[in-house]
Amino acid sequence: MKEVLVDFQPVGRRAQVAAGQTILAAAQQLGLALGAGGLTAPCGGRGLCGRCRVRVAAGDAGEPTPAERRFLKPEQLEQGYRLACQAVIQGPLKVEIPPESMLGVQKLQVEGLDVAVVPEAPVKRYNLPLTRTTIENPRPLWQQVAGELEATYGLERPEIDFNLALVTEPMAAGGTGVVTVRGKEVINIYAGRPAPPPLGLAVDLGTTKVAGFLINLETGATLAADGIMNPQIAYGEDVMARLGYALEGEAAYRRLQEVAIEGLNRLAATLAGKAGVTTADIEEAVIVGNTAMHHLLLHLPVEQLARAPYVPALTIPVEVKARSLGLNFSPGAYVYLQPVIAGFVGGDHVAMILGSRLDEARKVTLGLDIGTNTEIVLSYGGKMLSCSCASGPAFEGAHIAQGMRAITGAIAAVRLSDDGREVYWESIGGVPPLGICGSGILDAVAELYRTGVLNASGRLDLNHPRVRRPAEGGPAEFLLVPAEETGIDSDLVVTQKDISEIQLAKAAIASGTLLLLEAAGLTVADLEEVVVAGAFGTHLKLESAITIGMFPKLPLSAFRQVGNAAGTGARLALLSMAERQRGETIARQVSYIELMTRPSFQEVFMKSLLLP
Amino acid sequence: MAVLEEIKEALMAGNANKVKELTQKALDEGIAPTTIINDGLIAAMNIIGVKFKNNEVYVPEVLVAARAMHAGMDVVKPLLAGGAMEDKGTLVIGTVKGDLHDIGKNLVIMMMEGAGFKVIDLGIDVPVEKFVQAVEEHKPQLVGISALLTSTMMQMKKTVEGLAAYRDKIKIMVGGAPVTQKFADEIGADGYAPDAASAVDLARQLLAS
Repeated sequence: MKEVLVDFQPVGRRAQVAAGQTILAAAQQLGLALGAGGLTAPCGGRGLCGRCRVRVAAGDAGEPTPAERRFLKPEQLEQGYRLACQAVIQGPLKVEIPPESMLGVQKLQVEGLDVAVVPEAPVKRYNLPLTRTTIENPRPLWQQVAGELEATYGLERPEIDFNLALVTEPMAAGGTGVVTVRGKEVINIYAGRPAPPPLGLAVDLGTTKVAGFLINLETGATLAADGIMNPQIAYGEDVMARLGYALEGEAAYRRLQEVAIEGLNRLAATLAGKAGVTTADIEEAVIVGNTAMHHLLLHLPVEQLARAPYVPALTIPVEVKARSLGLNFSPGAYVYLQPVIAGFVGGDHVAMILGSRLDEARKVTLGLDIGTNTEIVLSYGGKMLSCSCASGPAFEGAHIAQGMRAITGAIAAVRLSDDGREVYWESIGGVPPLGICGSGILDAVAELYRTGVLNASGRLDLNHPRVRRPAEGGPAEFLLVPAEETGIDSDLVVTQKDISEIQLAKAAIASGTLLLLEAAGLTVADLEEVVVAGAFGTHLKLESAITIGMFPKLPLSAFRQVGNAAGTGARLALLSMAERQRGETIARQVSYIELMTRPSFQEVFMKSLLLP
Repeated sequence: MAVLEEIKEALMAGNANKVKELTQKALDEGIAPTTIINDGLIAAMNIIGVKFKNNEVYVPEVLVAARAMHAGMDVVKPLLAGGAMEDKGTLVIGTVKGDLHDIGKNLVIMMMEGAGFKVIDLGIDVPVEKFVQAVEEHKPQLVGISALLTSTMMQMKKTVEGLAAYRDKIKIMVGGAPVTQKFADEIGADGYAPDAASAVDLARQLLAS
């Protein structure tokens, strides 16, 4: 296949790529599907979402496909707008990525509540006196280390990580050596160079976002925290699309694992850079993730997870050498993955329960971690029931006509005057808005309902002055921000279809809550506390979630928005063996409820579609 | 028969309790069950179906309306003598093996029943053999196959292949979020419908051809 020059703007990437592939494939190959400024492809490039819109400013990209005709108006096609996943490169091209199709700089949530814990890490440091290896003292380094550990610290028959021996100078130079021991195994040594404090990495590996924490394992202090987008997102936005990609073949599956590892290495390097250390100093890591992320990272079989009965391959905790996954940490470092509970309730849920202490809740407490899949736990009288509901990506901005992630330019809060005629909004970064994110669309729907612009079944009032039906057909829409106030060249609207997406999401969460209560023999009236975890859960306005019936109607004082509790749980499991074991106990204690097999599911779900 | 108009209104507003109440009221007024069904419940559901096709209403409203329709149906159905409903044809329908999703499929069922078809619902996670068995037993004119997951789409192909021996007697319709016309053609289905309302049109078309 001939190579042609493709010029991507505004990122300014020019490269020779093979003709005959789609623009999206070329962008992915150039790494333009990863990170800020890259091209988004939520549906995994199947022509189903219409989000990878680009403008072909010059060159031939073939005839528009039916999918493109569905998502693009004739005048847009005329202007050169195409879907990157559909348009096939025929010759040299100049491609513009419009702001709304770009992955932005994410407002990633990495903080989380801090729980006091006594550091008691799985790795321990020992200082050993070393004697220079010479002909008079013919004892090489490791012989001295093993001898000292036995003689001075009573560690019987210590082992040495083989790979560590391969990369360590075997001759002792004298002075003090600092070794790191995990169980009986020496996993790291600092001889003849100063030892930094023992470092650990805690990671919350989400479907969309990856949050990382670099921790001093002796003091428990968080040295650096940061987040990145999960690079696998270029291969499908939700868990199912990604599992589907993995099932396309071994090469595809390997690719998914590689990009995840690459992302983790990049995150670790960023954190190390911030803290003035190197990733080679990281001696222990804990990763928590949903079951799919867990399986895709470890390359476990996923067919039974992608299809009914939707079961994990492995639910026991996994401990492997970091290097066996390709993670560039200290040569002997281990990675611990918190156990998963069920196909859609993973180690992140265990970490959420651990991090928010729901396992010891004295009150009847509901814990929600809202995402594309929302996991809910009900803790009552020492028992825990969990479920997972398919709330969909609407709160991440997907499936919403002008939806976007919670990044600069997104409308994050909306309020209406009582007659719904005046709209007050806030955008992230205070810039002219480009779209609307989860908390913004939630507010909008709640306010439309509060002001009577929406009825209980979710229909927009066509007689309202801000509601209109577009001349070219399509759903009715509520004018949120007129074009002249936005940062794009069109009005920002909330469509009837957007509202239906929010109804489906809220119905999933509300019916999950009701069915868990039902399974426990309780009702909403028995609920005493609600813990809301996760990034979206922290930024959403509780009143709005209650108004539309997504959250149970309890006084606001009964709610706690705890931030990234899963990240906190991961840090706890990293810092303390007792906490790690507590997490394993939680995983065994939680009973999983499969909602779809509950006889009342259909009825409860349909009822929950109504507002509130 | 103002009560039938009231039933239609309540149904379109998704008020199940009111539909139930009004249906009982209509019976008390002596209106025939088939009239209540055809001119009240199904008439309203058809209006919703058209609005759905025109993007005026979306899935949640259709589901809410369908729930209201069922509330009314539950009142009148026991009073129907066998064969009182017109029979436009029989559809055997199910979600493929490996897939537990049924809301979309149930929408199709409601629309098809609303249009006068007899529907045999095989439910979810339906293996190929069960489809075959149902075709043997119920002798339908139509078979509907649903899949919601990209990971279960290929099971659809296997199901179509499994029904190869009956293709002169049945028409196969496929649908579900990841399914496209192109995919339907590739696996050799007779037709594809992007949504529940078009499924009814497709069914009529397939039976006419």
